[in-house]
Amino acid sequence: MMIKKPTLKSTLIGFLYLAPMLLILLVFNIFPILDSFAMSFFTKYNFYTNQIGQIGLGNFKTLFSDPNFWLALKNTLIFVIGVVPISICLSLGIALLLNHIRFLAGFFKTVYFLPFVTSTVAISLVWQWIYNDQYGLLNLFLRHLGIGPINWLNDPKWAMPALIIMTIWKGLGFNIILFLAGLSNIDQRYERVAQIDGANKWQTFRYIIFPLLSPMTFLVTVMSIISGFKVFDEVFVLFGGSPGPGQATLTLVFYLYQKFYTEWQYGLAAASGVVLFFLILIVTVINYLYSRKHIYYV
Amino acid sequence: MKVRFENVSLNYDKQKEVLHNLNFEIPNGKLTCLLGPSGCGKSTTLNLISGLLLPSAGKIYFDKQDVTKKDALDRRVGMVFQNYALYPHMTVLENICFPLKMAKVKKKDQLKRAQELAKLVHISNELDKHPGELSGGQQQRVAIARSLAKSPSILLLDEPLSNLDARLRVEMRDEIRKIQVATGVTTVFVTHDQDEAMHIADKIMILDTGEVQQYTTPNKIYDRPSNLFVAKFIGNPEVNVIPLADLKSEFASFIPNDILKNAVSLIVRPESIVSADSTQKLLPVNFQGKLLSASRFGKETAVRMNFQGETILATAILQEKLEQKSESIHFRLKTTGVFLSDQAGKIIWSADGERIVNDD
Repeated sequence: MMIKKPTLKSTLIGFLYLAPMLLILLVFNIFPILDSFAMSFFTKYNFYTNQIGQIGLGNFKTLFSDPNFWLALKNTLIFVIGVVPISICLSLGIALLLNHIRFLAGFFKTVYFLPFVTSTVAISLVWQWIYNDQYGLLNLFLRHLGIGPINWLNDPKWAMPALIIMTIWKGLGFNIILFLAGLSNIDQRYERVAQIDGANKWQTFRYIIFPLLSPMTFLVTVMSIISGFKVFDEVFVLFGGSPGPGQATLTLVFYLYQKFYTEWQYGLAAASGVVLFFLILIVTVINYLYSRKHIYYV
Repeated sequence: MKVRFENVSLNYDKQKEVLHNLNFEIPNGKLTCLLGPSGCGKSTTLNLISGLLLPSAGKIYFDKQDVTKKDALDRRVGMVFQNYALYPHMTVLENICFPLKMAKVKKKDQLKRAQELAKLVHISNELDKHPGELSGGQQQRVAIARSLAKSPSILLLDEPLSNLDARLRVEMRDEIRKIQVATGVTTVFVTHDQDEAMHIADKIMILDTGEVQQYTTPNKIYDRPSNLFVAKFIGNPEVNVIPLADLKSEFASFIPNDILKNAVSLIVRPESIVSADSTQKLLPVNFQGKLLSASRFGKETAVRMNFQGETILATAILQEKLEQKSESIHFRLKTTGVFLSDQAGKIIWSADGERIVNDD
């Protein structure tokens, strides 16, 4: 008989089959998560001997009274708000255009996708040159438009926009590929029917394509927000290992990195990690609740 | 509204011509069927009427207006597709209202019109559902309601019943006919199912290889097919086609010589072959065939026999006549459903009348 009622024995056998994967999951995922949660409560702690001297909420108290933490939180939020909407609009627009051309579509897809598969370090080197205040391509271009040279990487006012622009550019290709996949799942006959129903191109997009694409838009949004909250390496390499001029691009993960690797405050680092975790969790839950109401899964 | 095609041709990619020099007129307020095997160009013809495709040559008129260069929106056509193509993210009500919304009709009037149409197609109770929650037949009703919403100049149906099961198909067929009569909208219905076309249409246009084969009323197509293709395509079971060469002398007494000398095939509908002692109106010929098999399917008896080296099928020879266990059958032909065709497949003589003149 193929279908058995689950007994204690069959359940154990089932777990036995799952054991190798469960073991890996436990050791590399579940345990570190729980451990870092625990670590955030260790106020006196020796990381190397794993000796716990004191447990308490002290780390969180220190964290919330640290102006740098609030700066990092503010910067991260500005970064996410700056990157996600523009990135989604741009990549959706480009995906729509690519979806309509046959000629060279593959070529353009590759071009847009290249930044995604290229190492962030290499990309940042190129962008450091583009952003250079004297010889940079961007300032050269802006000069033609009559805009004075901007010190992108050394002016605290412009460091965040510079980071946002580079991140948008880097993530574009991946989002475009996702949107193209979503678009190719939409039956072309809807466009024809809409045309007969009297919808123009914009109305077809507004009332037909966009709603049908919403599950993919949701996915891209959630993924962009999460990766936005986790931004670190772009900052690290673009500003040469510093959190930008005047800490202008100090993000939460960068803050965590500083606490952990340069100040050896492991408890504080873990606490900021926990805060980041809950931040992402809250945003994702909000996203999810929104999607249940407004997204139609065919 | 009348639709007129004037020398319309269409080629894809400048190579293959799909439609050749079509000339026809679709009458106002009637239901016209485009019928043909797959790949015959019937859906393409429909798309030309709709404006989704534009012809490579020729002109299309709606009444007196030249619409050749106009798109689907300007032509104000309503269209129903085989797979319904309802917007899955909208409710039934929103689906029906969509064309009205695009035409900037007031919300209140949209609702009124949608309810009117829902009543017409019997889906008043489903207005709040999404298409995914409806059965195939209901989805098709919604699609029809949506296509009628903006009072189209012409309603185009592209194989609307092909995705339904047999029973529902008959039901929806009659329903579409009722809706068409009730609204009086000029309707073009594409199908590959001759039965559907025969039941629903005022006029049938038979297409094959991108050309109009015959265009007239359903019964006329059955009684007077214009060529061998039409004779074979319409009618189930298929007609018997028998080489005429050895039979000419039998027909010489009642068929004018100038016709007989061009005729190459005798075409006989299976129900026009009757036993020799039948009292119906018969042609003055007497044939004899060798019985191969006889089987009864409900009301129908299919008798296969060998005649002049051909296997022919007769459905009007009664079972009782066969029980004499004789191997040979004497049969005669009725004065309907018997035709002669020439070398090119054109039908040049029909037993129920005089020479065939291609009318309509």
